[in-house]
Amino acid sequence: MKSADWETSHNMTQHDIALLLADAADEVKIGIAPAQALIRGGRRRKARRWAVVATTTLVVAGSTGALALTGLSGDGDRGMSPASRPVASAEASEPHMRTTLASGTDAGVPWRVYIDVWKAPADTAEAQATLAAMAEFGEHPEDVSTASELVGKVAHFVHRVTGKEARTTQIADMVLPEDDVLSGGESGTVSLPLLPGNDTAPRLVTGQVAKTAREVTCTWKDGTSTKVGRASAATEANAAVPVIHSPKHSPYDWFVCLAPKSTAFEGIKVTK
Amino acid sequence: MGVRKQAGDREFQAFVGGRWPRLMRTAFLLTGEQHAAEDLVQSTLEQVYVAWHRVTSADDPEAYVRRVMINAHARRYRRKLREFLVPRSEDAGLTHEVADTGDRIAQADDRHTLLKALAELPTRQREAVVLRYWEDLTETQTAEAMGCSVGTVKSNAAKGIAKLRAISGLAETVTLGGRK
Repeated sequence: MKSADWETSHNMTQHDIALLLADAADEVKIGIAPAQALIRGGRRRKARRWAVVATTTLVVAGSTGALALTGLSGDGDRGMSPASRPVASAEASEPHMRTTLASGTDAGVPWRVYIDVWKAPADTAEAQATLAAMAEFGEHPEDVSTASELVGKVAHFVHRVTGKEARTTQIADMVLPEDDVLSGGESGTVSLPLLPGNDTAPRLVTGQVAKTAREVTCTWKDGTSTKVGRASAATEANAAVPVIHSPKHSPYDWFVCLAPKSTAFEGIKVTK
Repeated sequence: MGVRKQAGDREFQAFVGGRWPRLMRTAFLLTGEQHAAEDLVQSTLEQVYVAWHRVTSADDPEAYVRRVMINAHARRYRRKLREFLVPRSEDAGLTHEVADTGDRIAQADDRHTLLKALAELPTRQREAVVLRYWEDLTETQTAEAMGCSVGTVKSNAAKGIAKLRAISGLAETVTLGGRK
């Protein structure tokens, strides 16, 4: 049959198929919409979303405080240019929006993870100024194309610095409404290898928790775990002990922990 | 929790309550199975929650949600995750008699025949048929939901309908004018 004939002679057929579809659709059990579960799931997705944008990498390099910028695409660990600024000196002169989340030495290799948090602009003019300031640090949120989209939102950029040559990789950006708080045991994480190149096990865990969380437990695939608590006199004395941080202006609290060399990340839970 | 966030959550809850039945039915036709339909709708609405401010400011929030659902369905297909479609062996070899349309057994049989036939359609044809003939969207709206051209919608819908008509049990029902 020609298609024109089919069209004219089977209008009824199509109508009937619509009726049959409606009939078949009635077979599904509708139930009650699990609105609260959907909201919890949505919040978890929101918290996880920043990991997705971690695939775009900006390499920030500099030796005297000036920042050079190279945009890269794809895996954040490939094709990075070494930066010349030592890890230690970067810590010594942190800009106002920067917080070091964790640092240490792994098998003789120094590493550090820091977060830049940019206060939510109140209006478009302020947003333009904020974007310009971010650009000076080689930062621009992926989800924001115009200044007005940044109004009322806090921008976060997480960077990983490794090695004596201070190879710096932006591993994530996340833009959140300033009142988008986490509550209870809600959390989000991203795990990735500590070192670029030949280290493939996801050992470096960066996460967000509610401001009320007092302790997070990171569990590793070998069955061991690491507890991350709030800062105390004891943790102040030992920089290698991971703690939960409250970066200024962020609606979330943040932490970083590192899995032992022989294992990898399995999960986290807010335990207090 | 911020005031704006609480208000947003309330709006979202109201939205979910109103749309849940329809979305479940559409997802059921797309996936062919209760649990897969629930998974698809939940995944869709969680994504909608994440982008809630965009949904509420969209010209057509319904279209936004449909697009999210079709994308989620297409992603599932691309990843070759198992779709829990109606088992093909369930009524293999059965012949379909033309029965009284008021007969509940025959009605259930027709449903299974249609769901089985839908399950056998390629994903894009299934999406086109469900959106055009169940959601009753225009070709343009269907194209927007599927992220393709109107021509592709026409082609997929026509092929899908032709294949449904070719299913013997269904053809008999359809030829007799369908269920009233």
